Amino acid sequence: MLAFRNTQKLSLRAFLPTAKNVGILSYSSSSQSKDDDGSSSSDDEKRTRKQRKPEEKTGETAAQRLNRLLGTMQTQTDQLTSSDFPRPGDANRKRREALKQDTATSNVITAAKNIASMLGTNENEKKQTESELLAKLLGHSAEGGSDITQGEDKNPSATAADGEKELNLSELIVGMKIDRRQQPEQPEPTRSEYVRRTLASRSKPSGGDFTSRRPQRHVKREAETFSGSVNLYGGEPLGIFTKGDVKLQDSPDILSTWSMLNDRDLKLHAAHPPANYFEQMIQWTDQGKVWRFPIDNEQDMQEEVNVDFSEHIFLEQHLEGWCPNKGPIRHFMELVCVGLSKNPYVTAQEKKEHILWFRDYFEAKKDILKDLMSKEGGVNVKKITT
Amino acid sequence: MYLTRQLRQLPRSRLTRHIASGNGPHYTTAAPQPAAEHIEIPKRIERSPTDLLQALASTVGRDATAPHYKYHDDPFLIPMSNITKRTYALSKEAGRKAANWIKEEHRELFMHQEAQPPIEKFAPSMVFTEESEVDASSLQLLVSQGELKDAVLVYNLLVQKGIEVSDALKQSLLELVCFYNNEEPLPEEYIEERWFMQNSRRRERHGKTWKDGELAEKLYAAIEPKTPQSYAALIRGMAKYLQCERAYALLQEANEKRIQLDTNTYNAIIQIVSFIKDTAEQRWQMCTSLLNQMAEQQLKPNLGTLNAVLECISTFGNFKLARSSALKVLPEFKQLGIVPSLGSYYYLLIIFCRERAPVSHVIIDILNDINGKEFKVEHPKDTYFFATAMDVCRNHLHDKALAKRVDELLHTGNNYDLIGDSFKEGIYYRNYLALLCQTESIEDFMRTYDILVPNIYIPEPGIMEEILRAIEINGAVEHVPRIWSDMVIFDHTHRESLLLYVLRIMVDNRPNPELPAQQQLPEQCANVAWDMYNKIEESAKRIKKVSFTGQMLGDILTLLVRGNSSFDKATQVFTYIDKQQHRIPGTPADSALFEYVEASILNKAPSQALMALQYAVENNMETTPLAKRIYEGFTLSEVHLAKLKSLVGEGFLTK
Repeated sequence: MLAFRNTQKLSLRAFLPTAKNVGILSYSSSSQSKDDDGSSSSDDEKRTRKQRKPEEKTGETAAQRLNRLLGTMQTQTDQLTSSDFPRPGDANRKRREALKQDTATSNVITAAKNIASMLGTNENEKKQTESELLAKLLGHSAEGGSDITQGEDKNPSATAADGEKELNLSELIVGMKIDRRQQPEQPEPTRSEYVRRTLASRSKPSGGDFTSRRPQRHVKREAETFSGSVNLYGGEPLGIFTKGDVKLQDSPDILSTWSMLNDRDLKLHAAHPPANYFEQMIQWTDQGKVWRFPIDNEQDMQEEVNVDFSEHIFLEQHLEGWCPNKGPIRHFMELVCVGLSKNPYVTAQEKKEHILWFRDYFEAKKDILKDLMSKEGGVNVKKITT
Repeated sequence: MYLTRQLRQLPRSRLTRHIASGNGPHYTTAAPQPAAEHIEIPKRIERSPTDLLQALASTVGRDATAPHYKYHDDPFLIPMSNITKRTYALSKEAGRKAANWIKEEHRELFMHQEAQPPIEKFAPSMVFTEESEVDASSLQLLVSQGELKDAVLVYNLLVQKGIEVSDALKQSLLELVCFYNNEEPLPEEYIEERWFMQNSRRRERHGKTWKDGELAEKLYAAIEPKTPQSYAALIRGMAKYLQCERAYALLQEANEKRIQLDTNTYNAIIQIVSFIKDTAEQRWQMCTSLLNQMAEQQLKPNLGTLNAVLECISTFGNFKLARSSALKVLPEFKQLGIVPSLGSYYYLLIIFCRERAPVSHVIIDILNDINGKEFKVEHPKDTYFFATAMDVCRNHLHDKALAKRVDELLHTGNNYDLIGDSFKEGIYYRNYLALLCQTESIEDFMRTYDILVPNIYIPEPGIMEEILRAIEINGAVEHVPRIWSDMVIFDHTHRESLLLYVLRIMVDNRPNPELPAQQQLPEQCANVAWDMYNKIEESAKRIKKVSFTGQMLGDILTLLVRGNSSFDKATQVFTYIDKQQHRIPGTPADSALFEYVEASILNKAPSQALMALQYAVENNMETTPLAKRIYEGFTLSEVHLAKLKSLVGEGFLTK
């Protein structure tokens, strides 16, 4: 038996999503309105009303109702409108809406009934399941399908509060002023009672009385004209800097180091760990760890920036004037020039000094060289000394 | 470079390129072109070294199916839960720190300069000691690099040696010391640490941290005569580190001496008005009087002023006054041509959307205002906007459409840079997912879930519970195995509440074999249950252990029984229940035992069934239906029958 009950529950759940969709479909206008700026009356309006109310004490029942209303206020802000003015095209829309709704609701009801008769064994249980089902379905749609979990959690306690759902603020105030009709003294409405009442209010439109549905439907319209929205820039300015006689001058930051540190701090606020290799490269570039784009192999070689490449390569000019035109020393020095011209690691100045060092060297060793060469044949000696 | 220089000297005709018309505006061409076609050579645009890289980086979107760049070095090690993600990233950073430490500690090994030009980051940093030869220029350099500790050290050295430090340099140092409150900041390059920092240490504005009478004030005293700059630096420093009374006193002193300060200094004071005055009215009064002072001194306010005023307003307890004054401030600054930053909108949100105030839809107007805009960081609080906006969407308005708009804004341009840090990102996605799973259908929600989880966001246990609740409500039990495997990966399996929830969903929603999506489900559920059983058993050795309850074991048993081929496992679990029955609090549900007996009938295992019955008898559970079922289901042998009778007595057969 227990296992069986489980299956019951399960199949109920299986039905739920579809049934819920029906609900959402038929009451799409209400959920729509919630997506837009739900509360129809502005915050300020609400507030003033709240304040006004305590002044109009009309007795116990009114106070009770007030309390109940205040309790539910948070959850049903969208019901607080009092827009009963007829609008063009209303009648037509009303009829269509009502028709749609009627069929949808009746669909829901029959579906629920079917399920109940399928599952239930005795009469009592059938009714129980049916009412539970409907409560769940209509509870959802009443909340615009947006608050499923909360609705679920609240349900047992919320039924009492929602019991008088059609009782909205305007009605309440009217009620307080004019008549003290029926006392809402009924003991806590049971679930089935609640369902019946909700159903009644849903199917009412076909009879023509549409008050309970209407405010929700008009919310969107009102949002366009006047809503809970805030006109951010339309208010009265403070008038401190905008007075006519105030002349303002730009005030640059007088602390240069502070503002530099501040900028750096700000940049770090928006800094993320690199998300791809390019960002990684950016980070490294900023830290000076990799070549900067565009790639330039003379990057950061400040000393040589103003030295032309020719001074690095054409070094023979430094031989002019001291080096013999031919012979072993000339040959040696030319090799030195070739080697130096290919060396990227020394500056042009260093190359020149290097060559001149050889000049001084040969000059210093002139005597030895002369001796050597005279032994081999005195031909070259003359040329060195020139 | 050599080459281009040479080329310049070559005859021009050889440089000629035939280019498709308009295709290569960067190349000059000397080719005989029709005279009519005039080629406009655009001016060269100076590019910074990273512009090209940034352009390239912007072409790489976020791939939701791949782990973040920092995690993908080794597929085996890709972290899959929040805690491992954090550990991984911070370990990587710790590696960098260790390397840095070695570099500094064994500096003699790194003195060689291989690279040309030398890379300063790879060389050990200069160490200043008491003996260092220093002069004013090295202090200048250190201040401009923002090296607080060394700068202070060098300054002290200079003072000791009696070397004159110019007032301008003292002023710079004063600014540096005031900015950091003479505390070494976290080095710039530790980006991961900064990303995760606020997880542990939430930088709340608690109390004064300004160091009274320390270096900053000595430096300030050393500057004579006092300049506006020195006043400004000290005021801002005190305001930043909440030495409010003295900062304000200093401002008054400066005003008395007719010293002209600047806008940013006033901003600093406006920011701390809430610490000086207690009630909303007093705060507002002081705020306006400060603004009036600025106007008198002809200081043009800037974005910082707007945000400071809004911050001050956001601390008002009186929400009516807060709202009305915010709505006065905004048009004022609009007229001055100051464009609010995201930080301003953040303040607006916390001014308008409060728990103890009427619901406000100001976020709609804000979004209308900034839809599709790209933002750059302009104010430290800019990074608070997205997390707060999503929080408002979820907790204040409960509006899915708005949340989607916020999300769209976040993914516009480079706005994602302003998400803040991992902590705020977490809050953002937590609110987003929680809102979606409450408002969207389960299919739509799972689509978003698939995108975000696990690479962009990993749900915390609380959010997991929300998701499970959504699944329960929708009866979408087919998602449970998937969620379970995620939970295992995300390390949520030691949360008892989550385990119970998963079990309950699976037990309560018996899979419907007619739905194609659910055909495999009994098997999968049995696997999940078995997995869970093993996990819990394993966890007994750990510190954070989950202990079995009878309820939990009963659910596991039920699920195992429902799977077609896991009766053996079910038997194993039941044996465990039976043996440990004195240690396990509670008993399995009656239904669990009943299903187990049913299954043992199917599997023709009368001794198991009798064991279940015995357990039921011993634990004072309802036995009659069990006994009846056993009696009807099996053709019992004499031994079994005798046992049955001994357990429940003879009487039941006659009933």
